[in-house]
Amino acid sequence: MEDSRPTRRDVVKGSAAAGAVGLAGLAGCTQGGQNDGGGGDDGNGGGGDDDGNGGGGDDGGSTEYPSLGNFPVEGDTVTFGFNVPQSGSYSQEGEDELRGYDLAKQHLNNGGGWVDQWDDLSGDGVLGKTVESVNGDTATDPDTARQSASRMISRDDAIMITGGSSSGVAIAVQELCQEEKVQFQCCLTHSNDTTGSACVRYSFREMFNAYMTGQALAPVVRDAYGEDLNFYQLYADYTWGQTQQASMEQFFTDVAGWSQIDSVPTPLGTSDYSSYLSDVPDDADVLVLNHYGLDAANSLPQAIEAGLDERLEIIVPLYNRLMAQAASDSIEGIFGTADWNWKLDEEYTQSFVESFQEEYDQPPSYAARLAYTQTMQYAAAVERAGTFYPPEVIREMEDYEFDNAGLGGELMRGSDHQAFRDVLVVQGKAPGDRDSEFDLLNVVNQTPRDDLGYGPDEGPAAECELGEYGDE
Amino acid sequence: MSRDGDTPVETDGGTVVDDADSGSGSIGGPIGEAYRSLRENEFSVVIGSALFLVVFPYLLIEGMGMLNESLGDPGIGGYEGLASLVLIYGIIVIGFNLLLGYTELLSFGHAAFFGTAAYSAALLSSTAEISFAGFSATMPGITSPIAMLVFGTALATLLAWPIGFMSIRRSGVYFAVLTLTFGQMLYFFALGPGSGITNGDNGFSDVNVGSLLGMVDFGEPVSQFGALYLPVIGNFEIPFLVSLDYVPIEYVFVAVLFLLALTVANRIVNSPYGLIFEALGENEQRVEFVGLNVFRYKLMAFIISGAFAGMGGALFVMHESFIHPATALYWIQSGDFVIMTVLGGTGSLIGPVFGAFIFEYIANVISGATIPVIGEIGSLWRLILGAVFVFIVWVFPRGAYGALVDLKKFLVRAVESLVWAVRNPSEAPGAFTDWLRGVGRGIATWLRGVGRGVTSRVRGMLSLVGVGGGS
Amino acid sequence: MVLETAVEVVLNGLQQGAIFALLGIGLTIILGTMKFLNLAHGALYLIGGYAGMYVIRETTLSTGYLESIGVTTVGLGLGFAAAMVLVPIFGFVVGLLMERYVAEPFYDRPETDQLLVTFGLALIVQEVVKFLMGGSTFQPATPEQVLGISVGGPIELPIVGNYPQWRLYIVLIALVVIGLTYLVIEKTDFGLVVQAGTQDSEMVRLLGIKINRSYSLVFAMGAALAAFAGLIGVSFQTVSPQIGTEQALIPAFLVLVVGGAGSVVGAIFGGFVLGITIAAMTVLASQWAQIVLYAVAAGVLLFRPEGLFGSAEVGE
Repeated sequence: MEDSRPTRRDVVKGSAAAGAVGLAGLAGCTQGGQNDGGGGDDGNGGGGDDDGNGGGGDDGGSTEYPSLGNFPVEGDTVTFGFNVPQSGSYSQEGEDELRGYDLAKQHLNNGGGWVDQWDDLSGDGVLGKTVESVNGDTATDPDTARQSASRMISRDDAIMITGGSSSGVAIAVQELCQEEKVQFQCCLTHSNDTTGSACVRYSFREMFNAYMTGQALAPVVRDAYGEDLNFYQLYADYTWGQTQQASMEQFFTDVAGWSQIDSVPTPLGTSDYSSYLSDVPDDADVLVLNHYGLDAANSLPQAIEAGLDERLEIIVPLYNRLMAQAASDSIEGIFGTADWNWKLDEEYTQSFVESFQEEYDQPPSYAARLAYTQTMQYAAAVERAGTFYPPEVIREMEDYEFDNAGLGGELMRGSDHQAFRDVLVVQGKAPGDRDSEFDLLNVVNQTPRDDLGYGPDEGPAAECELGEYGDE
Repeated sequence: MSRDGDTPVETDGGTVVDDADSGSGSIGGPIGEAYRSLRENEFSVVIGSALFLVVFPYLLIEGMGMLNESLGDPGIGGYEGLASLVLIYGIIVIGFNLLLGYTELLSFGHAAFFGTAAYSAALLSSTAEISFAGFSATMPGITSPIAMLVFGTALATLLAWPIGFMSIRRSGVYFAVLTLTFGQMLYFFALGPGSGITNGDNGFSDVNVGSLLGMVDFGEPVSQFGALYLPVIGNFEIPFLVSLDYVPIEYVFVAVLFLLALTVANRIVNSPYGLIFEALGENEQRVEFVGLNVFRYKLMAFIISGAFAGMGGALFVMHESFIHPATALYWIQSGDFVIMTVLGGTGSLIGPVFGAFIFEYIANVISGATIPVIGEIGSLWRLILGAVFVFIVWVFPRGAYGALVDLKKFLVRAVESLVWAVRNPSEAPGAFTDWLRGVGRGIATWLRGVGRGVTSRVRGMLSLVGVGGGS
Repeated sequence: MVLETAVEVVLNGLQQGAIFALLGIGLTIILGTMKFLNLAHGALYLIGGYAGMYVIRETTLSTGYLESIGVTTVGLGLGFAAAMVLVPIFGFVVGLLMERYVAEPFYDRPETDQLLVTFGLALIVQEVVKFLMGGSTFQPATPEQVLGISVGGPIELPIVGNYPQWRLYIVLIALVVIGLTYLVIEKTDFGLVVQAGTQDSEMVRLLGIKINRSYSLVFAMGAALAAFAGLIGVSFQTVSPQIGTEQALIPAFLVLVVGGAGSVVGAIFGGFVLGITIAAMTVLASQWAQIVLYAVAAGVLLFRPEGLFGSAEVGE
């Protein structure tokens, strides 16, 4: 086990180098990393890392570590894979994530934004290598996402993949990344499973999860609506919706003292919820819509249209911009949680919003912040580690404490790779109170991280086994 | 649908345009004869394919890599997983073509067999707890690739029987809709009620592919095992053997099965059975009058194609280690099989494989390319694919492979004639006229293909303003 | 409670059924008259949906192209009414073009070629829309007011209680359009040609009727109906490039096989049968709703291949 056997892809990389000697044509090497080395390695077995790395010079000690995943990074560029939904239910988020990613790439290479504020980052690429990127379309479908990520890994030699926007996608991709020993930075994924039963060593999540939504939301809605209420849930029938409704049931029952009438699954991508909505029983006091993206953009307006808001309270556990805009006339007063808000009065938030607005003429959604921060955090960890060698980067991120991502103090817990951070409880704004079409939500409460979370053996973390670093 | 099929491509009888033996006579000579008999020989088809399969990964990666370099690195190289993927889809479309190309039954539901095999192979290898309608079971965790393949293919074949039995009763669009309907029912089952088995929309990831025959892992490179491996002899590298370095055992496994599938299909096509399939596509009634049981033969073709799709599905899940209802069972997947088959060309056995290659190459490689003006192609790849597809259907009804074959035939004949003309200077002028005529005919055929759309459109427009009769 | 549920099922089923019927009528008259199978029928729905959304947005919202060039449209309140006129016209024109440049060259080709080329076309339209408008989803364009009549919000109905008012208008509008179509087919000369064409196009041609011109009109009319269905669809559902294949194409074909190729009455009936089936199943066992929908279609195909109202020969 110590001297890890070369995996298929180690050998691929080695032989690609050998092939370059013969033919100067590398498989899918998009970043001009050709013609490195003098031709010494025979591309077979063992390390396979090219000691004669001509281009970038210091790629952070490739001589010290064996090759693993897409390490070592050859040439003077490094490729990140941005795997976002460009079509399907969550494509709106994907669009904004991509903006965040591109901005991060730009800042990493040229300075600006958080790069100027974070000590770890230089604005001269990462470890002196220029950051390049490749985009993929997950189509909000786990299999498509996996295939896309797999291409980024073998075709484009991406050293890190990031993306998500659907927990089903994030989980599917992070499993692949664990197998391939390529780091995955979760973007928008809120299911408990991502850092719970499906957690992996090679993936980190900065976003909060459904469990924390329950913890943050329950006391607020209890105070607002009272105790002894009956609630009824609809949920999107995949990992996020399933854990989301379970967490809502748990905390609304335990903390708010409410009782659940029923919880009904709806297929992801349903466009007409009228049949489900007309089923909501008369004795329900609260309707919980565990929908997101396109689903929520259909279900919430349809619920309002049906007049449900006149006879009961509606809660949308996880807010997003598309849904808020789609239902913009009717979200007034509806409670939910959000990852972050561009109106937060905080220095890192402000500098990010500023540079984002400068670039795209609109404020960022929280999906964009997640994309931006996940890329920055990976880059910073690489700089601290002084190498792209994945196990070292991972160890650098584990149990890392930081306060420079716009939400105050945060801890990336090493035992389950879940960030423990504040969660925002928000409420839709009345149309009259808005400054712009992007000013839709009121932050009711920034629930401090001390009031949230769970021990390493509790809640979702109880089921988490991270797996190997790859250098054991 | 009873339209008099005056499509110029299909002359009565043979599927291949028989212009070779019309006038030019014995130009090929003994060499041509030998070449032709070699071509006829089934065995040689298999050997030829086998040789190609050995160099295929090399061509795909190094060849395309070189092209990529010469174009200034727009990102159109190849990569190692792609070769297996192309062959997996190749197996599926070879079978699909037996149905579409020979018996002319267009199925929009073959994802059902693909997906069923994928899920059953995956389940066999997993140790997951599954449940449905109150029953639950723990999966056995049999990870042998061969067992997975056999199990998946068997279940797909078993499923193809009843679905075929019901669908074959209808023809044309009703057959297409029926197959689509069964496929979609399975898709929604896997997504909803059956999610206790399939893990629903989360996708099924507990796929464990064990070692082959208890000896080699799928991911290991061939070079570690095969006696074939001859890395470096002094300073002399045998180019494609170097490629074995990055060829995983999985590819060898897939390639062998691909070869098997091709052999079987070739056998079928060249057997009396295959002739009947073909006859069914051309004129069902005639077959019936001869006293053959049309239904039985159609069903057989359907089941065989289902088995091939199942084989591909089992291999696919081993390749991806993950399966989701949308990839496994959604009708778009069935549509992709149709696109691949038609893209490559339904007229020959190997044509659809060509289509699978074009499809997968556009989907996996061209999608990452960067071109001027538009930038990275990304998710636009389906637009390119759609355009290529429509163009092919419109202009080359025999597919890309058919077009290539025509081109090759034309070139071969040109070269043969030239050689002959040099040898027989006295007769050359006369033969030259013949040759010219041949060229003319070739061009005319092609033009007719292109012009077909134009003429009938013009005819349509004329008739719209009241000139001329109906079409 | 049971009565309430039943009434709700019927109401929900009518909305979905109306859209299915509109799609099915278009598909069935095209198939019946021209023996042409149009897998791009869903693309017409998609085009109608986007066109409708744009017309509504441009004429009712305070942002958009018109606003950007200084024309203030707020307060017109004409959005949906304008779309109801413009979208079918747009669909009609697209249908004419499609008939001439896509369908016509394939009238003489085998039916598989027709399926294939229109399948490819459907892909292309979807991807072009995605390329031009982006893959993102747009919010449903539910009108608040049409021609000064308030149509938004809930309305109190007997038995069922609160019900979205707009949904009732959808059914009403769709029924009017379906009725008009029915009258056109049943009562006009054009309709006679269509009907005769679905029975025996050879005979019609022999009688000297310029059937090609009718072909264009039939195709365009089918396209206009599909586009109109798209407009209805986006008035309560989100809009994205996939709606053509996901929400329209397959339902249209299911309606076709249930109702019978070439039968307008069959398409109307089939649309509502399937609409109500899906609404009922959603209440009874939502996970099985789609499966049952397909099972109904398969059952009809197996046991009554000519459809519930079709004549046996068409489409075979």
